Amino acid sequence: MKKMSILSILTTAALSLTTGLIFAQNNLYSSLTIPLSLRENATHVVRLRDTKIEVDDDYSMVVKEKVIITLLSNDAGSYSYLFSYDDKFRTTKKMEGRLYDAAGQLIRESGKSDIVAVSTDSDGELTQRKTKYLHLPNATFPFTVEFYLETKQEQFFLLPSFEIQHFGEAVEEARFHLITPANYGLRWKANNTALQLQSTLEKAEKHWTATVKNLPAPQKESYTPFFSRLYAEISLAPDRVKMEDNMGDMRDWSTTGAFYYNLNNNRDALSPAMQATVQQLTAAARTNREKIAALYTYLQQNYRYVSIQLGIGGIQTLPASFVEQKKYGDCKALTNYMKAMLKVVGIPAYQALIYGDDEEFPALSEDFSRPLFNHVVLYIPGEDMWLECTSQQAPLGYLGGFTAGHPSLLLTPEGGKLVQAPLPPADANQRHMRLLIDIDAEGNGKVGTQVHYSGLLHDMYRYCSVEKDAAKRDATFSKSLGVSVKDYQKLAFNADPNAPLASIVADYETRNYAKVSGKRLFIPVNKIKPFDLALPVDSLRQHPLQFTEANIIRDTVVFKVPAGYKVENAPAPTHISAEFVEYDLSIGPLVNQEIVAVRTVQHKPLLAQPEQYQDIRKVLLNIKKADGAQIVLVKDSSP
Amino acid sequence: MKFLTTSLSFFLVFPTLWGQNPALKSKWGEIPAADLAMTIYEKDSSATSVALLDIGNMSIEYLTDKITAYLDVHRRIKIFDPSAFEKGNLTIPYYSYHGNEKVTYLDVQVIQPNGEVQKVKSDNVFSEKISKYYAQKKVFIPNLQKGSVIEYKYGIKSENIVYLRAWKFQEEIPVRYSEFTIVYPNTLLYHNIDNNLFGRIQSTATEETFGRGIKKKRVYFVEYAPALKEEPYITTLDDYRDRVDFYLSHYYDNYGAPQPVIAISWEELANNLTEKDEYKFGSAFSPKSRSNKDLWEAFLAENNIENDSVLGIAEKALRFVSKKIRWNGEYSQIPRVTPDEALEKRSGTTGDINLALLALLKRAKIDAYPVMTSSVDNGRVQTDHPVITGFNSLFVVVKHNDKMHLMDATNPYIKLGNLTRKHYNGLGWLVDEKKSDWLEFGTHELSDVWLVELQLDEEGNARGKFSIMADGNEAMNWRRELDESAPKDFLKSSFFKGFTDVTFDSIQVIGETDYDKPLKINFNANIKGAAEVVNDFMYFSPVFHRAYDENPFKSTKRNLPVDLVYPVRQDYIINIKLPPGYTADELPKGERTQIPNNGGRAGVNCSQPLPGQVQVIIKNKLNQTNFQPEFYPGLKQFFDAMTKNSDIQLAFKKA
Repeated sequence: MKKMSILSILTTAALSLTTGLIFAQNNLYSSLTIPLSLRENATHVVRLRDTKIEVDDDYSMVVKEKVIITLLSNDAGSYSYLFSYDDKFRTTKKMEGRLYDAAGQLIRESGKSDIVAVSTDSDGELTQRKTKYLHLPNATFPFTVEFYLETKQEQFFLLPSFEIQHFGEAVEEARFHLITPANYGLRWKANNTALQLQSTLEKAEKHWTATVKNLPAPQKESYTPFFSRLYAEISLAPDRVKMEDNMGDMRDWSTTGAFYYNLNNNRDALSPAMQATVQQLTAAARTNREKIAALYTYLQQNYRYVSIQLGIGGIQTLPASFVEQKKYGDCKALTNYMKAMLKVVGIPAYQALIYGDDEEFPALSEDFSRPLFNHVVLYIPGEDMWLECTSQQAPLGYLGGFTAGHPSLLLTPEGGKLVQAPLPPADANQRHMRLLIDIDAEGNGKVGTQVHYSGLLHDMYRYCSVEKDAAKRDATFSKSLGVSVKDYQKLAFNADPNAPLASIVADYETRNYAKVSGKRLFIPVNKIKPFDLALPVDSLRQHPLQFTEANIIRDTVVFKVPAGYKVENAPAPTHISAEFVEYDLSIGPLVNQEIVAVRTVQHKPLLAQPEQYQDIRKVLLNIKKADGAQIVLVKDSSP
Repeated sequence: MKFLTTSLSFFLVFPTLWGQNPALKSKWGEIPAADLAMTIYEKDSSATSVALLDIGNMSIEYLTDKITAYLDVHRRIKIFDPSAFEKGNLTIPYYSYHGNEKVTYLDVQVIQPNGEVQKVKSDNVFSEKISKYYAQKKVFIPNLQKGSVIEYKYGIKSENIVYLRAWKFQEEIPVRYSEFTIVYPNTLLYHNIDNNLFGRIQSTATEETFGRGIKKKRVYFVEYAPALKEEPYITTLDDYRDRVDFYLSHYYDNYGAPQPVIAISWEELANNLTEKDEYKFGSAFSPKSRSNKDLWEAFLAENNIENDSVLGIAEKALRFVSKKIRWNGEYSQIPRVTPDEALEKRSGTTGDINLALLALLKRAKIDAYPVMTSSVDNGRVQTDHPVITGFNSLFVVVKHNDKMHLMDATNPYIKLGNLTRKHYNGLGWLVDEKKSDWLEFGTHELSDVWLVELQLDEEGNARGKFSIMADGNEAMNWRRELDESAPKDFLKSSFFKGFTDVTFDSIQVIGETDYDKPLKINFNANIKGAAEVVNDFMYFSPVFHRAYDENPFKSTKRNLPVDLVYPVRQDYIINIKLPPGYTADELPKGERTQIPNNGGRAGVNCSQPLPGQVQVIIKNKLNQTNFQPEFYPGLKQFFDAMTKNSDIQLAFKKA
């Protein structure tokens, strides 16, 4: 039967080529049948996505998904892969694919040997997860792939979303169908779509369905406030889950937190010897803060991050006794261990689930509890303090860019509480730089630098301060400069062990700071750390624009110039102000062969509508232009 | 396991080698007090850990009719700093496919600075299947402290006795003492391939009797090997790593006659490879083979080659294969699949793709050959030993009218005669059943030429007529971009990113699919605010396209040689017409920088051919692509000069 249908498709495809007609009846395998409206902005077109999820009485689920995707360009290359994974709770039942050429002719069908199974664990990681993939590439675009994936999940706490559309993705048709027991409690939330999930009751089953058709592709754009490149989705969350023998009520954040709390409760017993050690470590401490500091330092200097996640180890911590004995653990285990040590000295603390990522995080809303987290930190309510327990360097109470400001679920004895991890305000993230640039008659510069960084701006330099390899420090710092360094006379990093502060002293020579042009000397003002925020042209912006950076930069540059020059032209004082940025640059007169330039830049968070895009872009271009200003000196011919 | 004790006892009595420092070596569990007390590694104070000991004993055993390789490894690592605790995550990978290799034992212990020995129990040891072919043992060593010494030993039993596991004396941390011993019956003939660039590896060879037989024994050691660290612009770290490889060429039969296991000469290797046996490499491109019949028919169905010249057919074959079969990012010097299978899969390794190309050429009766090579990332080609593992990739050469034409179908935009970057390593082995030979070839330079006629107006806006041209693989790169985006987007994103307001008109792309010719683009551009107007002055930076935006060499120090792969040529000529009433107010001096021995030159020259006009000519040429670390400062200076030339500034004054 299957063969027959393929044959008939081939015949129709061939027919269409010879007659040059476009189908009335859609041939989903041919790139020729894609409506023009779906091609615009699209890197690929989902011809059909048919997802069927069956949740059973025993809290297991089977997911069956068929997709037909036409890839239009190399940018969509990743869609020629079908990914799955197996672990203790999940089994891939079926994985198949077919590849079609531009005209919809079948090129090949996947076989068993096309499925690659690999472990992607790093050296410090042990999971039972096997990644599986099937790759059907083609040398030229467009082409079409058809994939079928069937998986069985024994237990779960997250249901897959109906991912309606990603950026650059047009959808001809997508169908979503969830079947649950009649009494199954389910909540859903539509993100960026008006689509509703319909439910019907049929005998003992409840059917939840949604279908979309002919959605043009949202244009790929930079600085959009969308998580995980996902443009529109319907998020699903079950009311009750079962993990091994633990039942969980997930109807709100409080009960969700209670589920995690109970899973992780009573795993914090330390041996009498360790309790004694804790007492000893904190004996000299006078305040709770000092006790926390002593124990945190002890954790950082004696324990390492190793991720062992077996069974339900993904959501349940290894007991504190394990970490005590091994001196290692993953985020859950190290956090739990720190909590256990604090307990010994009578300081209560809560595990806090969070989504760690340097670039983005999901927005979680108070009214829809869906525990989308990948990391755990520790919250100490008595001090209102947050601890990152997997870092050997972080100062006490500091969350870096990986988690700062992200939503977090506190696991308290009274249940879960959704809060926001602290985000340092703009004035806590600063750079103060003093540069002395001594320019010679050839344009070479001798640069003396003193920089102080604080808050989120200091993270990278803390890393440098603990890096023992001088060559690596040199390379990291050199890469952050807009000039090429010939030689360092001095390069030293220093990070405050107790606060998010780092400072750098750097003295170096650069061969091409200024440019000599006949009798003139052109001195760029901000060459070492140019203003580099810019937006692409985006002829018609479709989506909101988001800047999350909040910081203040104050730079003072003293140029020492060779004798015998006068200023021909110097940039006038610049002040550019907008909702999201304040920029000031002023350049002083030439006095005693010295010119002083002062620049301040303040970045503020912004969420702007698409129509504001061109104005914002212009502001940034104006700043960039002003920032690229040069002082023009000319040889003074007057006696 | 029983066997292992006998095999180990063989090594118990160790003669001290000439020049060897006996203090560096000690038995399992016997850690010198000084090593326990050590807080810093004197030879490299930046090291957060050091491998104190790394000892490997390889023994090739003949048991009844089976030969097995046993490797016993003993390592010891000293931890100085918590940041090196991750050294306590051990991985021991092995080739598990069909049980080919097995880990026979694994013992791990930690010796704390106070001398306390803690055995690492088996609940810290895990087995992980990495893929169909590889598995590994993972150990998470508990209870590490500052100053701990990790000590472990393991055995690997292997059925791979032809190409043995390489011994690496160097790793990313310093290795104080590394030693490798190999013992094998003299009825086997093993050869060694040494990578000993810095002369640190010392060795001895002896013979010992056992029962009625004789065993050969070789011992290699390196003392105080420095840490080997990644740097940009190198081939591969392995090119600089102290290491030895062994391979088996013969065994001696019961009559003492040598029987080859693998090819023993380059001629024989070529003969083996080109055999038209179904399972050999030669069948891939044999015109009679069934393994390339579909490919040939598909080619003929799309191409009429009846009246084409040899190079005309070759061009069509190159385009056909490169557009039909996508490179999957993997290398092979022999085919993984047949040409027809590669066509069916629409993807293949470098070897699969170029053998498919070769098959078409052979079918078309063109005088063409496979050339085996080592890709740039894989490192230098070794020429001393006729072993196929010395190569990892393959391209094709066509001989026509006494000329050699290189071909590489792993990029659909390539010019016939060029290779992709990965294959430009200078040397390949042309495989021919009659006369194989080494083929030396240079890298075709990346080149582009810019001719600009520019008119400035009083506001500092410019209208320019641009004629730009790319050749070599630069043209290949441009063609790929033009295939994927509109010409104006290509121009904007590649060359005019830094300008706020640019519009293009009259864009003309010449030779987009004439792959044998340079690619030309002619266009006009209106550039707002190209020059800065202040008072009576106009300041103008005339370079719109730079060979290098900034110096790619950021570090101030360099340990390994630099390999840039491509020679580069860039010419930039601009004629600027000033707005009426403006004159050039003293032009910058010309500059010229050179790398000795014609290695490269970078120059800029400004002139005033007519009143109200300024001409700027920039010529950059880099011929030399390999530089020793000693020349690094000079190379860096040269790149500084090139970026400085592009930064040239002109000043015009209103009369």
